[in-house]
Amino acid sequence: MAAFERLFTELFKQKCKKAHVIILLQFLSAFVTTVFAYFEGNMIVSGSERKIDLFLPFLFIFFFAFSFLFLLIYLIITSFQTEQINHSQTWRLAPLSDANIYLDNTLSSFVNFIYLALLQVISSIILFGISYLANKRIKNGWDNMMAIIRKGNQSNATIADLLGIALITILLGLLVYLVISFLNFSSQAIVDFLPAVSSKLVVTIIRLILIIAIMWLLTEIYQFIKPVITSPLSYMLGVEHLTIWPAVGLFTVLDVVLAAINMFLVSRFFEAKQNK
Amino acid sequence: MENVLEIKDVTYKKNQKLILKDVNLTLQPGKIVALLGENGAGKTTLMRIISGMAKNYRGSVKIDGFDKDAEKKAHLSFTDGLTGFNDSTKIKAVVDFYEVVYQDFDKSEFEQLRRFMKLDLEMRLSQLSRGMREKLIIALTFARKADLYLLDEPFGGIDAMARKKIINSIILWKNDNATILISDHFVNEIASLLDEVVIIKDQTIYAHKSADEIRSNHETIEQYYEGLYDGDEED
Repeated sequence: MAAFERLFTELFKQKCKKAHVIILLQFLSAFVTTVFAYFEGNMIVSGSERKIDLFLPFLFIFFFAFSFLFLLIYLIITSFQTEQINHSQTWRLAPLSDANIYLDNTLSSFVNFIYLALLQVISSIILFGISYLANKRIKNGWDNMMAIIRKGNQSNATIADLLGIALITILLGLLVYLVISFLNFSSQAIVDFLPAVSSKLVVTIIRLILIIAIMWLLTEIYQFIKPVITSPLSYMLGVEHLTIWPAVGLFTVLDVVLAAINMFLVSRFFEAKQNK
Repeated sequence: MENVLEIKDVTYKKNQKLILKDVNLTLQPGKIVALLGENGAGKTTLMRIISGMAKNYRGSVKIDGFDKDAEKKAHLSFTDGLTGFNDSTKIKAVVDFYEVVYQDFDKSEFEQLRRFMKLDLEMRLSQLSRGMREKLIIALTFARKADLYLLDEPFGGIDAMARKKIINSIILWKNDNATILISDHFVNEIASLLDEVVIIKDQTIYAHKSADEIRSNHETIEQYYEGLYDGDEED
């Protein structure tokens, strides 16, 4: 267990740097867009209000709006990094079983994904807080909105639904890492089994065809198991949470099953890349 | 004393091509063993099987009696090309990685080896020549207190003078009970170190002899090794 934690810490440390670069890039993008809108856009000018007062609120809005895009970019970048590590002899020589190295690698990417999402939330709150304090219109608008929400007496269902959506986002993020690993492991294992081909291009084409075939197979399996898992959950949970909680259950099952299959593949078939 | 390495009936195929067939090999503690064979004979593959990097083989591999991957990897130290690191990584970051990941990594031992190899901790991997990189790999490999060292052609890029110094020092860097399995083309240069010689030929272990036995026949190890291929060339 200690070796597992030590490797996790090392992997987390390396991937953390990328999360920090991404949040910095997100802030810079929001800043540049705000400056552009500030000088070029007419929409910011509003009656007698000074343009400078709207700079911070717009910085917050652009930063917040870019969050999903940068999270997606991070997911793609770290998926590639995760697969490089899965294939790397340097990491695979660590004194752990291959299944544990794979788990460490995937979990550290996933925890970093959550870490980036938290950084985005905290940064958004800070930017909003500054806008709230600096701009009366934002303050009034926010206070009015909160009053409406309070009057509307929001039910627990809304909070539960929000929690469900957050959980689905988290499970989907994990599923992306797992599916990419599954495609990588299974296609590589099949290519290793096929007769040798000297051309790298041919190997790449074969792998692409295999990946498409495996993705099609995965979709078919998903269509098959979806009602098997969601129907009993929908029945148990009632109509109120029909759309979210069965989906949470479905994604949980998919994550666990794919993680188990990947652990098997990496232990038995997926070799580390030879390096000298 | 228990064997440090026990390979039984290992057969390995990749891309429908047989690479190793019915390999059986036992190594005792405290030996320095050369693994010799032509290019493509399967020396690297055998080391990858021993270290758990190659998969899906038939047969069994035990290190110090352990057959599970995690335990085997904890007891061996394999020369790794460090390709898992970005080229901009500094040597000191690589050392930190080794210190965190390998509990048997001895930093003070590494310091001694680093000074011996004249390596600067602040240098980045991209700044290292092939020879310097190989020196770093050797220093990292021997800074671990392992029972089995697997050295896969470790001296290819190192200049003759430094190579001699390193080869002569290897015996000082390992524990008495540790075994070294070394594959190299410089048979003459490592000959004086060797206790045993293992030859891979025709996809299997063709010969496993003690160096003294070879010498007692008034042959050098290189002559013995080359003699195994004389017949093939005539064919």
